[in-house]
Amino acid sequence: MLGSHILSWVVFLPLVGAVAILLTGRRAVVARGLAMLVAVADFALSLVVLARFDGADGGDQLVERAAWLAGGKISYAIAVDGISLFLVLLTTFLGPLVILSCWRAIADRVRECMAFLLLLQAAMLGTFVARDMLLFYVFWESMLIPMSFIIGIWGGERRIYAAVKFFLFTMVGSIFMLVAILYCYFQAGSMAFSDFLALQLPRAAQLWLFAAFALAFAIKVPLFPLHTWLPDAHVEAPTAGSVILAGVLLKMGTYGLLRFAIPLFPQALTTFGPWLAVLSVIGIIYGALVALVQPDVKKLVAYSSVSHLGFVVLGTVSLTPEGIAGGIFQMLAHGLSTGALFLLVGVIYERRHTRLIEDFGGLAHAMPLYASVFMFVTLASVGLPGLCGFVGEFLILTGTFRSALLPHARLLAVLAATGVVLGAFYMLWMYQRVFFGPLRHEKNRGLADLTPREWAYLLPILVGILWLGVRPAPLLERMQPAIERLLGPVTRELTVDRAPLQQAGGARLGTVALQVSDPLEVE
Amino acid sequence: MPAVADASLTAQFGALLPYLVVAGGGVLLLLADALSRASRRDHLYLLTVAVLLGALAAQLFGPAPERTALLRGMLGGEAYTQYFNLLFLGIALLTATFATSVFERAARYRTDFYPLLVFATLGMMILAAATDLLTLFLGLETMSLAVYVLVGGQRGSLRASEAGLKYLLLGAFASAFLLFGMGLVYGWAGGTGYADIADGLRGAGGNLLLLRAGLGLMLVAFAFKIAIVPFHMWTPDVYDGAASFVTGYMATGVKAAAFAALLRFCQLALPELGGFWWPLLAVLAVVTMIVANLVALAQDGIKRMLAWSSVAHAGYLMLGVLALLATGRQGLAATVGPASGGAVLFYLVAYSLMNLGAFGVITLLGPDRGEEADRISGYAGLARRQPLVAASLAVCLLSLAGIPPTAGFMAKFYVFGAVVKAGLVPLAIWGVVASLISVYYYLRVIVVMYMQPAGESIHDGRSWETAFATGLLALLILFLGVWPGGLQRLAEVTFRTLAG
Amino acid sequence: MAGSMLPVFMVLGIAVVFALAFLVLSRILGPHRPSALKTTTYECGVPPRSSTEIRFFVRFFLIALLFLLFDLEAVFIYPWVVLYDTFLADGRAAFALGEMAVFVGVLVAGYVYAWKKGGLDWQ
Repeated sequence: MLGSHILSWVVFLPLVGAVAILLTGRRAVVARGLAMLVAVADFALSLVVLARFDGADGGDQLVERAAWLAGGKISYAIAVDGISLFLVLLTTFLGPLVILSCWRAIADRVRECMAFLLLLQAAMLGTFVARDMLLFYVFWESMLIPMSFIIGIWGGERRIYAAVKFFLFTMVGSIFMLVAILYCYFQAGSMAFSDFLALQLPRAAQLWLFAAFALAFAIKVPLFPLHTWLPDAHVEAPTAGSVILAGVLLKMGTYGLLRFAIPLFPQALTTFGPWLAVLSVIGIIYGALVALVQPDVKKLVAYSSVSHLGFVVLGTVSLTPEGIAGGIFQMLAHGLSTGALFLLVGVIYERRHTRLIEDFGGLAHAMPLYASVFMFVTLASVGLPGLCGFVGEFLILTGTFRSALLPHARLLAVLAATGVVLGAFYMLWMYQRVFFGPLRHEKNRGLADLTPREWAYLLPILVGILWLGVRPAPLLERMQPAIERLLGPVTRELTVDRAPLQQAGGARLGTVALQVSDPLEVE
Repeated sequence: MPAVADASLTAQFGALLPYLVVAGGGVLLLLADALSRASRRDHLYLLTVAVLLGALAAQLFGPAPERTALLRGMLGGEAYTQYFNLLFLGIALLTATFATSVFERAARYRTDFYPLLVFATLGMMILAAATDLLTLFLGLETMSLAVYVLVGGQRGSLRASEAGLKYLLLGAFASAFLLFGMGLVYGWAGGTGYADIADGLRGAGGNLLLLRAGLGLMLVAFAFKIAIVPFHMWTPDVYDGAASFVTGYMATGVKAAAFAALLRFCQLALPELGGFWWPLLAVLAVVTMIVANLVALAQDGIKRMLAWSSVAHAGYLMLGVLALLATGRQGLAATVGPASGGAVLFYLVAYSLMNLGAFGVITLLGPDRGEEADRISGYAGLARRQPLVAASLAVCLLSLAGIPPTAGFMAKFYVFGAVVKAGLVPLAIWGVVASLISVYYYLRVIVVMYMQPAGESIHDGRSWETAFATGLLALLILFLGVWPGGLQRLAEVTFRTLAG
Repeated sequence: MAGSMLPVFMVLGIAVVFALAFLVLSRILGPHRPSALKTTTYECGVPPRSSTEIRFFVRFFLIALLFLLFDLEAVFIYPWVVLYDTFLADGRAAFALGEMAVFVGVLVAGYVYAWKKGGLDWQ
């Protein structure tokens, strides 16, 4: 039945599920159950995709193409490669966990909530696999509506402000991207991504087009001065919304930068690349410093996202295989660890209806298991070797250090590295204030520890965090061909200071990662 | 010389049948309205539906449209005419359906509504088909006179009377401009047929002053009907004062008819319009989009908001027309022309769907709500009370904002695409900036519906016909958002029939 | 074209200039000493005794409108009468008669409508 349309099934199954829920899910139990069923089935389907994926091939795989509009110039074209594949997996992996996490927390208008979650999942998956620019844009914009509804309906006190701000910020960026896409469309004569790639545009045009694309992606990431929607959206969103937002949605920005902006307009990188790098380093440090002083745990995690995604952008614009691989890896790692952090914050919020650090203290006495899980995730987030956070950051810093594109690359790498230190500082400090010391509040004494349902959605993530940390090589090996394929033409075309941009040929990424995965072997 | 050749008239009878059905039906409705007792006037709705469906059938199953002109060059009989006639008849059908749900509860709205609706539709059909200045004027006046009355036709409502009078006075002014302009053009070309003007342009040389002045004055009249800044001043008051279903009819039908006539006229007088008046039109289009969207931000009433939004959409549509006109200057006519014309045609259908849907919902909720019916705050909590209706309105508004996957996005995509293709990237950027502004006020209504709790108890109207119709429109909008290809091809092919 | 119109524009210009000139001149040259008697209506009717803003019965307008309408429509019958001979000669008299029947039919429908809606009542 699945045949050659396996990817379409992965993308559209949640959509079908959403419609089914809207039609039948008058009772909350039915809506939840159906949503869970669909999400699990979708994950299973994406595992089939993984199984069929040929890791040695860097090109698009499982391609599906059908004429859509304009006599086939605009087509329904989807595919996965080493870059898309793992983001798709991340999305489908988080899907059921998110639904499980809001099993109790969302009791009002359950049917709509489940439908929106599944719609959002379909749109996100579509964005990752689209290989036609219009299709990509349609999926990209379609993410907006369900996400702002989730924030706006089930969110906190200032939810409407946050939802509207999220919508407008994202819209500002993407609408200029539409003009850029249109411009390229008439130059290329087709909306196919491959035809866009083949375009030979003059440098001046590339600058403008890159700016239009990069604005859209930088807002989504969010890159430093454009990040202000993020804390609002995260704080006001319900747990489920935060998890998806941090886990997947933010990756849209970095994915877009990597997939579209850089390969399509490589010449613009010599102008904009250093600026993006500087902004991302500012974002890394700024995000960490602001996180340091947050009284609210959720806001702290939100700002930590700004910091972590700064790493991803930095690695991406370093234009080194290590940097880009690290960027992708960091996207996955951040998706898991920050997703888990938001879930954990949700767990305590459900019990106490507060997220302020000062309302806690000594929680380790009341909820020892919860405290251990939180510790595990915190360590993953700060990049303890052996857990997922380390691999990405290490590769990014290595890549940045060796980048030929960025001026003062070593300085940038050193500055970014201070972000790692600061990250450990704010996370562990927060952990200390929340979990250690005496139980200061009577209310916290009787808190129940993790329930089986909570274990059910936390455990898979914990396993994932550990697995990514210990065995990153299988992932990195599958990414490598795709990254080389993407990077090759870009670096060939670029010249820095009149000399062709030569990247020092590193060891195979898999070996690098194998080395770093065992902390003892790193010198 | 005999006035009319018999044989040709018989041959044209099939093509003229839709007009005859609508005209005859209008007279019939007038009589039925006058002769039936007040209590039994619900039959009028059925009769109206029968007339409109009859005309639809006559248009659909009649003889295949040809390039030949009807009535000795007075009307065009191409697919272009058919396309618009189907659109107008569909709009009228939906408007009648919305109206009847209101009449069941509030009889004061009913003042010869159905015959006027049918006559206005006839005017639109003639306007879109006109290939002669005389029929152009005839169609415009038939449509406008009926709409003037429809606007003012709520007994005892001061606001409606004010709106009707305002529209009548300013409309008469616009008609005068049109007549004067037509006079000048006629004086220049020596004939009233579009073909005469085209002949004159082909042999053009010497003094074009008269033609340019005439075209300019005619453009003023068109700009009034489609509500382009600075000829838009009547729009908010009139849209606000009229009954909601009439507003919906005006926003879609009248605008589409005026654009249909304008496009046909542009296609004809391309070189001159494209050359001399183009810069001014471009400035007006940009000003229209920006001003209308900015003012719409500040509106508290949903109808006023939609009125300004319709002005803004006239601006987007003008972008398509500008792209078409630009082709005359740059010799792009073969490729860009049909694309831009087709984009405008597509846009008009998409725009009609979403506006009718929005006004349908407003109509549906309106009559039991009293004076404050149209405040946006009154929509708080609608998603909880009537989820399906709220969802329909949300789809319509998202489509108006141009967010995929809706018909509105595809419409904007095609229009902006045509603009970029014509090499007018700055215009496209202005359009994009304008639609960015618009997102906020459309979103506001959705936010109120979905995210705010209902304040005081509001008595929403309920009517299954309207709910069904708006739901259907919402589905259509989504369908066109995903599979716009069919309609787009149809629109482009249709426009090509005109271009020949 | 503009050349042949030149005399017209000249006449127009002269007329405007003269009219304005005399208005301005009489204002400047003429003595201006108003008195109560001078400002009253002079040989142009009787002085008004009450407010002139009285209400007319709306029926006057209605009747006038209806008269105008039908009167104007009736004018269209004249050219038909004149052309009827040619139609007769062509052998298409039935067609012409049918056309006029439709035209009159529409008029009658309008008449019936006006009547039934009370347009002809005088209460």
